Amino acid sequence: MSLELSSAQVESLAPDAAALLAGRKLAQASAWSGLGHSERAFWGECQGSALYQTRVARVDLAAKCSCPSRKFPCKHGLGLMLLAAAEPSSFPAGAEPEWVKSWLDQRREAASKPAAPRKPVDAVAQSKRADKRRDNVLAGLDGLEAWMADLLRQGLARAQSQSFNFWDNQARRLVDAQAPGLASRVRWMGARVAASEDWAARLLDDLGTLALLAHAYRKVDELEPGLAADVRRLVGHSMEAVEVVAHGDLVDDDWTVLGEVTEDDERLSTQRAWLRGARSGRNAMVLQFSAGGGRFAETLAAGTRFAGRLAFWPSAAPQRALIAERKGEAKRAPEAPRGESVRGALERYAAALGKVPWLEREAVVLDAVTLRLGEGASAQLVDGEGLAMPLYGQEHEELLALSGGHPMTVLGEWDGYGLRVLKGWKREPGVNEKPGVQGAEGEDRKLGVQGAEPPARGANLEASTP
Amino acid sequence: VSDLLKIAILGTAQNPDAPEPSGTPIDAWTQATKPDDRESALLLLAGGLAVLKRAARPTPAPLKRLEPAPPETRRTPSERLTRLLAALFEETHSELILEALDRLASSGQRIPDELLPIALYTRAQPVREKLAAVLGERGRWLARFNDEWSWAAPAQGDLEARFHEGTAAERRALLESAFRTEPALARKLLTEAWKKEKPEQRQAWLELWSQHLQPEDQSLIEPLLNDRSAPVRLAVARLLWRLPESAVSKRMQQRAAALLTFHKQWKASLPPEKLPEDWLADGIEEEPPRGIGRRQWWLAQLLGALPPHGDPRPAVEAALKHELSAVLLDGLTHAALIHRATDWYGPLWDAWARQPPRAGLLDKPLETLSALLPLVQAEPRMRAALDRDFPELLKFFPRPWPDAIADRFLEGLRFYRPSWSRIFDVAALALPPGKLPEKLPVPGVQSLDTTAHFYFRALDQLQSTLAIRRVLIEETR
Repeated sequence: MSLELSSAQVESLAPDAAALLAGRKLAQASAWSGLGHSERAFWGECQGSALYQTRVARVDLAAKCSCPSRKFPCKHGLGLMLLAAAEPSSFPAGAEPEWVKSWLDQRREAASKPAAPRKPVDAVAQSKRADKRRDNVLAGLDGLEAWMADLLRQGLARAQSQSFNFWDNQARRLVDAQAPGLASRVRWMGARVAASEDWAARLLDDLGTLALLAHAYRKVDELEPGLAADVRRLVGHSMEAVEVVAHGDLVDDDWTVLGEVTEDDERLSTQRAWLRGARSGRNAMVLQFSAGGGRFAETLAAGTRFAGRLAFWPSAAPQRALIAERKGEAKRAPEAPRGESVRGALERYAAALGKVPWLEREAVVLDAVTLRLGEGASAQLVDGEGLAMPLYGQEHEELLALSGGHPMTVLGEWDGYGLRVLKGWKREPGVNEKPGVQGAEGEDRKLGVQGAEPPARGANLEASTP
Repeated sequence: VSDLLKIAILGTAQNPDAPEPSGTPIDAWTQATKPDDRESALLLLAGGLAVLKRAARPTPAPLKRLEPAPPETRRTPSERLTRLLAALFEETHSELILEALDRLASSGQRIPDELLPIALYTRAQPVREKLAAVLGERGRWLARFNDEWSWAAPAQGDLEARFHEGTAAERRALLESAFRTEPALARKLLTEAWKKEKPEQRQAWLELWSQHLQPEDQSLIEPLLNDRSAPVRLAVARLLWRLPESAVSKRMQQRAAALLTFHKQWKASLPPEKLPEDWLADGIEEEPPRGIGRRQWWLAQLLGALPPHGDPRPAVEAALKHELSAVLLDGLTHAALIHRATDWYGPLWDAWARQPPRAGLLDKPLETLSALLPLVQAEPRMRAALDRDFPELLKFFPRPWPDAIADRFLEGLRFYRPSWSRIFDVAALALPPGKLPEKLPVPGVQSLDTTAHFYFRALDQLQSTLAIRRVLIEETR
């Protein structure tokens, strides 16, 4: 079997450290019987306190196991995948056993099942519903703007002494007004108050950005369609997958999963996976949610690549996408993705902000950057041109360990304030080490508003928010 | 702080003035939106400026460059071995890590970069000691960046300077390393710093010294008998028991001669009712542990101080027959251990294997002796433990087991012996590298009761640990 996977990629699928640890122990051929593979899957049986049947679909590395574990993938799934990555020869080609075949067939049926027949659209009723929602949201905006104006009249210094309810009540009113997107921004603001030294400046930025969004919603019909779709989405109009496929940009490409980040709330896990198309060069963010420790619908392991079609949400600067179709199994991607300079990344981000001023973050892959550490928690990545990007977070142990202070390729999420590092790649000495870059690093520089400014940002801003 | 931010923090109610123009296109744009009130105008201005700021934030001045890590001289392990090491580091109680580190060291490999942080967070001292050899240049370089990792950073300054500047724990560690590498310096540091240390530290140092004791140390140790702390004085006297030419030891030998004789059999009398003051000064503890009489306790200590002599087997056999057998055995074992009389270990082990343990000078005599038995004495006793279905005793012998014992153990697995499952965890680590079968035999059982269930689970675990060790050995040849 030629499963082009590395164990590191499989490990990124582990739901927690305990499952991974248990999985690693099972990554020995002696722990399994009946190992095999077909075009579609690989499988094996593991003797625990009972005999567990474990199968993994090659197309997306989705695993299914007969064990009672509620983790996805369970230790058997992880163990089987790790074994497949390390010792693919342990999986002889063979006919799919019934328990593998029936599962794959079920998956195929579920995937190809047409959506439930839609009721014929009642245009009049639909338009009535839309009007009602719009009225609701507008009423919510009136309340929000009055609340923000009051906050500003009293002064942000007072925000420090406000209770959780102060923010939460306003958020709830927005949820009632069918504007959940605005509600979550309000909750975030409350959470960030007094959380950092520059919290007041951040709060003013957040309030201002929210005021811009409210302003834009009132004029949504005057905006160009892409930006109008952004404003509606950000306020909280959700789109179903079929609508995204019907109205969004469809891009066929070989998609590499650059990296992913999963954030766990009390009940909800959110995963942002950043993908890049090999031919289109486009970046995409696949956002997934799972409740109660369940699995995400799509298995997206960092460092894998698959051929397929992504559908981008309609937007003036399309970023969020869903996987409309996979056309082959996930394979191991070439090691490090192509990187860019700090200047290139900042310009690209500025251009995107010019199109969608509320864009929260964008993935950047920085090439040949070195980690620098300052007093306290400050840290930066500095590129060959001597330009620095500040980092979020205090511990940069993994980056330090991987790089040893030498240049490396780094994937992160840039939000205009700082970079959240998701992954680093060592640069193979002699392969992508550019001597010229090394020399240039001697002159550390500062990119400023007075220096090389990102192009036409003011004009874009004006154009996008009339 | 910008003008706008100042107004926002204090509140517009307190600040009737408009903020100064930002000098960006946002000023004109805000005016053009014709906001309803002052607050809306300020919020829209803030929003526009926030976007502008995020789009065109000046990059910060670069921080100082780090001196990069020097090139490596040791090999990086394969992906397979890296994965295995990752699992071992995450499993905090794994003893396998010690074997893994030894094998990394002997095969010229190092801890892979991505595992350095988790390795450097290790707290267990034995693991840290072995890690030092395999951290590589990258690991030593990295250790400077976190105070918790400083144990692995290259030492600055010479040992003597570090000793004087270090914490109590660091001084103890430095003393230990000096005893191994520069014994003369260790003795100098110890005696010079003696009076400045706390009693607990002085006691800990004596414990350290006892492992590196030389006859010449007598003249350095005897003055310490005047220590101001009673527990330290006791420990000093007991350290001198180990030096037969010391005055303390000589006095103990004289007292013993009056109470104890051995000629084919033991003749023993109990010490006087009241403990003489001079006995106390020579390291005899007055109060016995629970379960042993005062005078018996003093006698055991007296015997426990003497350098053993003569033929061990008859002396031990006779001690077993004596009415004070527990006292005699306790004293003889302590004496053999502190004087490193290895020819006594085997007969004493045999005696303890038949004797129920009781309170005395040693907590676990059988365990202690098992770990110290020379191989020739150990092997027949291990075999006997297996043959007599008393496998727990194998727990205490040094690892790896001799080949012959490994063979016997593996051979024995063909039969269902529930008691053996109690040492599967030990066997998993103790079977020597050449004796790690790919498949273990699975014996048949009459019924699958709880005991059998436990047995097979333990067998699974043994199998899985052996598989891990096989990978480890293949990757570190």
